[in-house]
Amino acid sequence: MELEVVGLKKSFGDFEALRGVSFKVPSRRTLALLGPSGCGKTTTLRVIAGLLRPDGGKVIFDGRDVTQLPPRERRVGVVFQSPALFPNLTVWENIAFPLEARGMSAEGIRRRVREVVELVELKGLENRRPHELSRGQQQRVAIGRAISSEVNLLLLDEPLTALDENLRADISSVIKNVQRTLGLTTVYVTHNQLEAFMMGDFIATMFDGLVDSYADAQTMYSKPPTERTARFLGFTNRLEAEAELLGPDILRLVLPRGELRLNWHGPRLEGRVSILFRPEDASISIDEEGLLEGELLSSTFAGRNVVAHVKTSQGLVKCAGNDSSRYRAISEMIGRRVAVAIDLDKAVLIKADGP
Amino acid sequence: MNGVKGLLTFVPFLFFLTLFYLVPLVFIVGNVSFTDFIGIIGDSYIHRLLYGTFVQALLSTALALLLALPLAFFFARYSFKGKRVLEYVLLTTFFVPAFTVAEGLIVLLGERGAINTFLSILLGTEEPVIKILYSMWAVVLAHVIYYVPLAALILEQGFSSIDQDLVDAARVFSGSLLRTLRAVYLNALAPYMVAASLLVFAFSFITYSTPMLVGGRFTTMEVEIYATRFRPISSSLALLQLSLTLAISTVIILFRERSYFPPPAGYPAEEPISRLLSKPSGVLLLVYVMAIYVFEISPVIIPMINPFFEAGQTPLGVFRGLQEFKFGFGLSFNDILYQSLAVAVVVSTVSTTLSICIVWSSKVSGGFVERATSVLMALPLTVSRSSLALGMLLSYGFGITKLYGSWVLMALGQSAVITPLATRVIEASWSRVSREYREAADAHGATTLFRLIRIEIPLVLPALIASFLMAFSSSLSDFTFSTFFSTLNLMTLPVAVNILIDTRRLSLALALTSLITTIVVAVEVLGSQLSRERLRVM
Repeated sequence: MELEVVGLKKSFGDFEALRGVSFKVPSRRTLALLGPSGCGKTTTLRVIAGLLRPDGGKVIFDGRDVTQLPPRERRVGVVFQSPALFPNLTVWENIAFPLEARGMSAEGIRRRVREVVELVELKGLENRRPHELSRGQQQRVAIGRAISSEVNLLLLDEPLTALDENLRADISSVIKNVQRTLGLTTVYVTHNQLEAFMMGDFIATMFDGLVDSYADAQTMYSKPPTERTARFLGFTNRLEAEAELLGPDILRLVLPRGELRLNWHGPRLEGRVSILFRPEDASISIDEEGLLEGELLSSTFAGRNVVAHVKTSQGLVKCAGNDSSRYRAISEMIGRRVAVAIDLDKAVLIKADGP
Repeated sequence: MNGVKGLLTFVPFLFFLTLFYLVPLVFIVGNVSFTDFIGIIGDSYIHRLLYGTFVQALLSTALALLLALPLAFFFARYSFKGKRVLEYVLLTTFFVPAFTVAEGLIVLLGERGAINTFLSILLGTEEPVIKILYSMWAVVLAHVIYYVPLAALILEQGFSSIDQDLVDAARVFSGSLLRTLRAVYLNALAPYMVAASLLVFAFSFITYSTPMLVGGRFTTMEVEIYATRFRPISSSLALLQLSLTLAISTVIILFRERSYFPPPAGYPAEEPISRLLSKPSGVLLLVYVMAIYVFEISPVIIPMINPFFEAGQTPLGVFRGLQEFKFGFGLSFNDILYQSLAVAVVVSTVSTTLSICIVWSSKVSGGFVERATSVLMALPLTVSRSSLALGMLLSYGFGITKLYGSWVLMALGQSAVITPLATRVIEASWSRVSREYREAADAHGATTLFRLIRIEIPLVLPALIASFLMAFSSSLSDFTFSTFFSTLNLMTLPVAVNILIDTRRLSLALALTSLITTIVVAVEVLGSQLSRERLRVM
C-alpha cells in the first residue's frame, strides 16, 4: 500500500506541531522519519494512525483519503516507544487483541496468533503476562500485536529507544524480518541517525513541524540535500567559499588558502556556497598542506582517533580524522598555527543560506 | 469529539447532579419564605448557633493539626518494620463511624466513666473530676480524635516532599535553625497545612452525629436543621447552611486547583527508627507517638470491649439482649440488620455504577468535560448533609414522589454523598490507565466499548471493588440520612444505636456499635488493600 501525507497541520494551543508535512512512501518500502525531539515526528505518526485529527491536510492510503476515518477503519499496526502492552492480558491475548476487536472467528484467531508467535519468535511465552517478560520480549509482543491483523501499514514510534545496544540489534532484525516477510509499507520514527539509516529505505528529516529533506538512505547519508539536514546528520563543520562553474562539470572554489577545482556533477552552483563536512573527514595536516589554517586550541585522545579543535578565520573547526598514534605530535602543536586537510569528496556543497 | 457526542458524555454527570442535588435544592428554595429567611438572618439564637459551630470547627482544626504535626513528621522521617500496619491502625479512627468515637467518649468521660472513676479513686472524691461530656468541648475532643489521622496523612505528604539537600543547604547558608525552618519546612508544608486545615474545618463545620450524641445542649446548624425538619423554618436554615458550606467547598476547590503540592522528594530515604533512641528529643517524639496512639485508639477499642466486660455479660448474652429488644413498631434487631445490609448493597451498587459511568464518560470526552466533572464532583464532599437530606425529604419524600418511609429514599440520600467519594477513588485509578494503552487499543481496531470491557474495566477493577466496599461501609456508618429518613418501620443500624442510647441501654448500644465498627473496619481494610486511592483526600 502506498502512503501519502499532504500538507498535514496540527496545533496544540499556540504551539504549531505540524506546519504542512508532506511525503510519500512507496508500497512495501520503509520511510524513516528522522528529527530531533519535538520536531513533530510522533505527531505525524499519530495523525497517520488516526489517533489525532489534523487541523489541515490529508492522509491518503493507495489514493484513498482516510483523514476522517477512525483508527479502527484504517488497518494500521502501531508499535509505541514503550511497548504499551495491556498488562491484564497474556502474550497470546495481546497479539489476539486486534483480531478479537475486528470480530475474527476463534479458529481464525488461533491460526493467526500461532503464525505471528512464530514470526516474532515468542514460542513458549504465550501464556505469560507482560510483567513476566524481558524488555526485548515485550517489544516483540508489541510488534506481534501490531501485525497480527492484516494491516496496511506498520507505524513504529522509536521502538528501540528504551532498549540497550544488544537488544536494539535483536529487535531491529525482528522488525526487518517482519517487514520483509509481510511486505509492509512502514513508517519508522526515530531521533537516532544510525537507526534511521539501518531501517529506512528512504529518510525524511523533520524540523519544527516541517519535512526538511527527503531522499533515499544512501543519498541522505552521503549528500544530504539541505544545510540543516547535513548539520543534523553530523556535517557539523562549515566553511564558506566562492564557487564558479568553469564548464559543465568543473567547479572552481575560492578558499582562504587559495583555490581549487573539482569535478562537479551536482546542481548548478555559483556565488557563495557552504562546504559542510564531518569532523572525521578533517585532520591536522603535518606537512602544512590543507584548505584551511588556524590556531590549534586543543587535542583530546579518543581511543581510535584524536579530536582537535582549530580556530580558523571561518570559525571553529573540529577535526576527528587524526590517527590516535599522532596524539603526542598534535598535542605539542597546541597554540601554534596548523593546516587542516579536508576530504572534499565526502563534503557537501550547498548554496549558502546563512551562517 | 463532535458537539452531540460531547453533550452525550456529559449526561451521566448531569443526571447525577440533577437527581441528587438540583431537585432537592429547588425544593428547599421553593419552601423558603422570605420572612423566615430574613428572620433567621437577624435571629440571635441562629447567630449563637453559627458562632458555636464556627468556634468548635476552628478549635477542632487547630488542635487536630497541632497534634498531627509531630506524628506526620515521625511517619515521614523514620522507617521501621510494621510501619504500614501502624498507619492503617491510626487511620481506623478516621474510617470508623463517627458515633463509635462519640460512644467511646461516653464510656471514658461519663460521670461514672473509666477516666472519672480512676481519677475519683486517685483523688478520693465522689464528684466526677472531668465534666466535659455533653458540651462543646466533648464535640471538639471527638473531632480531634477523628481528624488527627486525616491531618497527619496530609501533613506526612508535606514532610515527605522536603528534600534533605535543601535542608542541608539552608543550614549551611542560613546558619540558623529558625531560618532553616522558615526557608524550607514552612515553605514545603504550607500548602499541606492549608489543605489539612480546610478539610478538617469543613468536616467539623458539617458535624452532625457527634454533637447529637455528646454535645448535650451544645448544638450545630446541621442538628438544628434535623430538629426543625418538619417545620417551615428548616428550609431557610438549610438554605443558609448550604450557602455557607458551598462557600467553604468552593474555597477548598479553588485552593486545590491553584496550589502546587510538591511531590515526594525521594531523598532522604527514611531513617531507621533506632536513630530516635540516640537522642532525648527522639525519645520524646517516640513517647508522644505512643501517647497519640492511646488517645486515638482507646475511644474506638473501649466501646467495642466494654459491654463484654460488664458483670454477667458474655458476647452471646449481649447479642441475645439485642435480639430481644424491640425497636419502633416491633422491629427486631434482625429486621434492622437486613434493612441496613440491603440499603448498603443498593447504595454500593448505585454509587459504583454511577461513578463508572461518570468517570468513563468524562474520560471519553476528555478536555473541558473531564476537568469540569472532576472539579464539580469535589463540591459535594463538604456540602451540608442535613440540608441535602431535608431537600430530599421535601422533593422525593413528600414532593414529586412519596418515598418517605421507603428504603429507596434512604438509598437515594446515601448515594448522593457516597457517589462523589466513589467517583474520586475510581477516577484516580482510571487516570493511571496509561494513555498509551488506550491509544494502543484504538490503533488496533478496538471500539470504545470493546476497549472499556477488555482493557479499562479490568485495569481499574481493584479500584472498583475498593469503591464498592467503601460505599458499603459508608452506608453502614451513615447517621445523617438514616436519622432523617428512618420511620418506625424502617431503620438502619446507626438509628438503632441512637434509640438504644436514648433509652439508656448503653451496653446494648455499645454492643451494636462494636458490631458495626467491626464490619466497617474489616471492609475498609480489605478496600485499602485493593486501592490506596481510598486515602486520597485532596
